[in-house]
Amino acid sequence: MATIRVLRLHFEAYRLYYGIFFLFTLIVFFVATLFKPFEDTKTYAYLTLIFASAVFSFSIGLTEYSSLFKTHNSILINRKSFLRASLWMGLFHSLFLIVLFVGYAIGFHFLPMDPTSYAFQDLGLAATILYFLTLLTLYYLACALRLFLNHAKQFYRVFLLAGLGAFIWFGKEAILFVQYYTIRAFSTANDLFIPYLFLLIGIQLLSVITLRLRVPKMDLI
Amino acid sequence: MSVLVCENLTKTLRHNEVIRNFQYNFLENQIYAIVGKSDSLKSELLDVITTKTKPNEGAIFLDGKLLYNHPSHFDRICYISKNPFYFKGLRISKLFHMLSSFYPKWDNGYAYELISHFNISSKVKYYQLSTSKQTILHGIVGLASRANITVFDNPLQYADVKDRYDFFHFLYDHHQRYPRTLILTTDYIDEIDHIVDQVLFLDKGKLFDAFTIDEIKDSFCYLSGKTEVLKSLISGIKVIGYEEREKVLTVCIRKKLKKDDIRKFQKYLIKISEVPIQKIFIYLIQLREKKGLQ
Repeated sequence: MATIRVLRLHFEAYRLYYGIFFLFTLIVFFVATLFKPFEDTKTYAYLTLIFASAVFSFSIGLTEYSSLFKTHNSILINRKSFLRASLWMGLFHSLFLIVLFVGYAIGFHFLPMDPTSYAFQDLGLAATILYFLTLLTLYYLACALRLFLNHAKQFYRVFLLAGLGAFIWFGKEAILFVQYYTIRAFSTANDLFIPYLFLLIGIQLLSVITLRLRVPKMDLI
Repeated sequence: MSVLVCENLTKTLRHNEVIRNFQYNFLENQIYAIVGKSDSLKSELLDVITTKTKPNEGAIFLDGKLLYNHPSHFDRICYISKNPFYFKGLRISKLFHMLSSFYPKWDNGYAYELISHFNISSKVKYYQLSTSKQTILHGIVGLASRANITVFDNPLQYADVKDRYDFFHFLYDHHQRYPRTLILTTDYIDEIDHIVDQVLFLDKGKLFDAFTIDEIKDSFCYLSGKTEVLKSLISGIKVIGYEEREKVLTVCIRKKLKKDDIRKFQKYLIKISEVPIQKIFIYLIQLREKKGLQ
């Protein structure tokens, strides 16, 4: 019961963000439909969805232990119910995104495009599972990171600025790098399923253990 | 039943002891006011009492059970801190709707009645409210929660005098209808002395005195009259503070006056009056500073 009401708080707080994200994915889909004669449209649409979902998961994870945790603690001081709800939230969030992704993948499948031009032709169960786990990992990792950097706000800002600076500095190479490895990860999902699985579950476990150890004991000031 | 027992609470922050051996029993259905200077660490004390921060030593029991180990007890405590944080995009109506699921006794009708009295629209978003309206809203949340133990950290500190008066009037009425334990820190104790049952004086994280309102009225009084006359009359009486203006001396004494004493003072045209609680606090703090007590 306590977990459900905290999940309701999540729903109230995030529904606008989810609405915006859903709208964004719709726009991506329609743009991809409109520009279907161009080469690689499907690839870029997939890449945009994958990258946006990853950034969205990470951002929601960061928001979780900043604004929402504070809101929850302003209402009720019960760290454990928040922790439980937050872990469930990660699962629902990743499920929502994966359902959305699969929905668009089905949509893309029926788009009459040059079948040789896009890189996500062998999008199978293994890739979908790994993608789901990646989103979940990003969410939990962001939660744990935000909690760790809670008392080091300057470091947190420097960290973000450094990331942004590096992205601007490397510009096109960075985008190509992300593209290359995203496509590679999806195309090798079947072959490297077990190592990827262990890696992702390992990071998730570490993040969840960090949260479980830290949240119940932390001072909320 | 809701009795909150604080046993020897000590809290250390960055190697400084901010709360020192706080020991007090907050009894059921009483209204407690905690008074202290800005460096008295009242907010830190409330943070510890409500387990927002964990004490380094000591324990807090709610109805005999250790509060920290029984998260279900938290439903019975509503803590309105000095600057509560609500998610920016939340509308007031949504906030109330959500709070109703957090507090089992949430009084939605009363919450709407109060926001309409204070001219707060339920359709606006929380961040669109002015600072004074936000503090009023925090107070309303505390009242409407009807939590067994409601803790306010300086409620309505940014609101104007009229709104504060109205709010504390509502607080008193609501407490009469639904008695519960209220713990509040305040910088305006004299505005609320008529609704408070107990006053706790805090200095640098240490509780140095606690009185009921009746004890204060009985034990402290002002005597004022011509300086030379009054000085000769108060020898042997414990004076905790004095003020002298234009050869008129006013002293605050800590003594329960008997009928004979009152007659004696009246005979020499010495005026006897009640001491505002704020003044008592100031005098006691001054005494502590003079004695070098910490």
